[in-house]
Amino acid sequence: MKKVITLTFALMATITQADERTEIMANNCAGCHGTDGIVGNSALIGLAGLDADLFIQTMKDFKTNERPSTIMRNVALALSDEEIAAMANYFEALPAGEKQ
Amino acid sequence: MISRREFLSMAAAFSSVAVLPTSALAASKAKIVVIGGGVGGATFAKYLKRKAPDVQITMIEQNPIYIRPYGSSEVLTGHIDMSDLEVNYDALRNKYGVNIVIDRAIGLDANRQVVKTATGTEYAYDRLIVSPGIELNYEKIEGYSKKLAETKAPSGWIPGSQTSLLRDQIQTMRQGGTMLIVAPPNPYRCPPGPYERGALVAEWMQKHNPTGKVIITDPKNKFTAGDNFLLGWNRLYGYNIPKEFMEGMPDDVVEHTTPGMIDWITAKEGGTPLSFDAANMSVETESGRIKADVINIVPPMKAGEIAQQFGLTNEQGWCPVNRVTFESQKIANVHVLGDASIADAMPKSGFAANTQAKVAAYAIAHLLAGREPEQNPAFENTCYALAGSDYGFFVSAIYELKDGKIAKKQAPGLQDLTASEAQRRLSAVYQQAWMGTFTEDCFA
Repeated sequence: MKKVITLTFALMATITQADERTEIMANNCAGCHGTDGIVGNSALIGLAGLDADLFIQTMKDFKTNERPSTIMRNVALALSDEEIAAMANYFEALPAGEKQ
Repeated sequence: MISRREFLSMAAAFSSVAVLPTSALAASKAKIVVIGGGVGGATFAKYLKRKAPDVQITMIEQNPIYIRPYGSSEVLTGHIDMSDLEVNYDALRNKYGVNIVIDRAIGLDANRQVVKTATGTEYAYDRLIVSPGIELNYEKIEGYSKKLAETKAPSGWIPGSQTSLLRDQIQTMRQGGTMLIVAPPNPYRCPPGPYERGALVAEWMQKHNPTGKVIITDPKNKFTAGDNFLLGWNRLYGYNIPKEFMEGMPDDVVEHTTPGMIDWITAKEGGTPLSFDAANMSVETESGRIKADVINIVPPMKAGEIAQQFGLTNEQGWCPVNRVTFESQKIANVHVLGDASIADAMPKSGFAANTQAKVAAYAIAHLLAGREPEQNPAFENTCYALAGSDYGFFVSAIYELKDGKIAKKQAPGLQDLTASEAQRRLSAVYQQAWMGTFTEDCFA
């Protein structure tokens, strides 16, 4: 029992750290895609609430140039699959709501 | 075997760990003073307030309205007005509760942790953030001065009256006249900036002064996104690409038989500027004298004046910092953000200052709560640049820490030279869209 709890404890601590790194990475997208992934009327799209699978597939397509892009190919190539998956989940969980 | 009581107390400890980040931060009533309401200072204040709402932030800024430098060359061609560069502090003040003080910081007592201002007010801090941008070293070009920049040969690198003076000079220049741009040595704010400015002015001349010319004289032999610029200049302004830059160029590069509208003189060719002669409107370079109708000197730069005055700079005039917290390596509890800081592989750009400010905000939120900051942060830079209104490209990179310094993550960083017309057009569209989204992320 104690082992299980200790393990869970350690795991949770890791997740907390990892989540913050994901948030920091996602913040880097905000200059184009808006704070919390929300942009107003713009040629650039918001990411809040975006389906995680779609996010992951799109990033894969950017990497292979299956989907032509400007900067996004280079951004995608600089990110690992784990980083992309973490960011996909992060943005999916953000409320897409109306821009304030 | 663990008792139920022990289990419950462990579970309680466990859940308190899970909620600690928010609650501990929320409880922090620490006093933060930010000097400078540019991209670095504003982004920092906004993101720290989002993370730690009870922290008290006072931002000391000289001007009630921020004039954004990014995109300010677009004023020169009349694409936008000076007023389009204006950004207010309403959201920082009203939405995030940042105390904006229009005043000038003049003194630091690092022992008492107090900042003094021109109006004689003292502000105590637990953490001081200095985000002063750049200072232009006008005097490094012999014969040049701030006074001459404001009256005769504007630099326009910190936007304001010099920008509108330069615009007026360009637009009233005689037909067939020459604009000379003196490019700065590394490191400087906005690496593609001087070359984008030359391109935008050349594009404007095609319509309004078709026999006009832009000369860029340079103390360097290469510059950021240089190949993309040279290719764009070749396609748009009749520029002939030097042989040494031809590798990797697409097949449609044209060898022009008549002189183009843009000329770029590298250091190797004697482009390094030596002095400015205001009376004769000429610049002496290592290869001789260049006379021009409009002279735009982008002088060497160093960290904003207040950083030097506070003793935060090194011999080169920039501020050494810890790359996670951006705490000064010179003075404890003082952090330096943006162009003024030494950020290794990252350029001095607004985008870089914005992502650095967020990392610093998160790190400081942890420090205020007595915890260790995330030691493996990530930064980004993206600079879209234009060779023409519909001809865009970019430099972009993600950065992380390597041996305590900020290093670029392995990936391509530039637009392919083979990019399609649609991609170039899209880069130009995104360049314009970014002006809006980026300003919002920093200030709103």
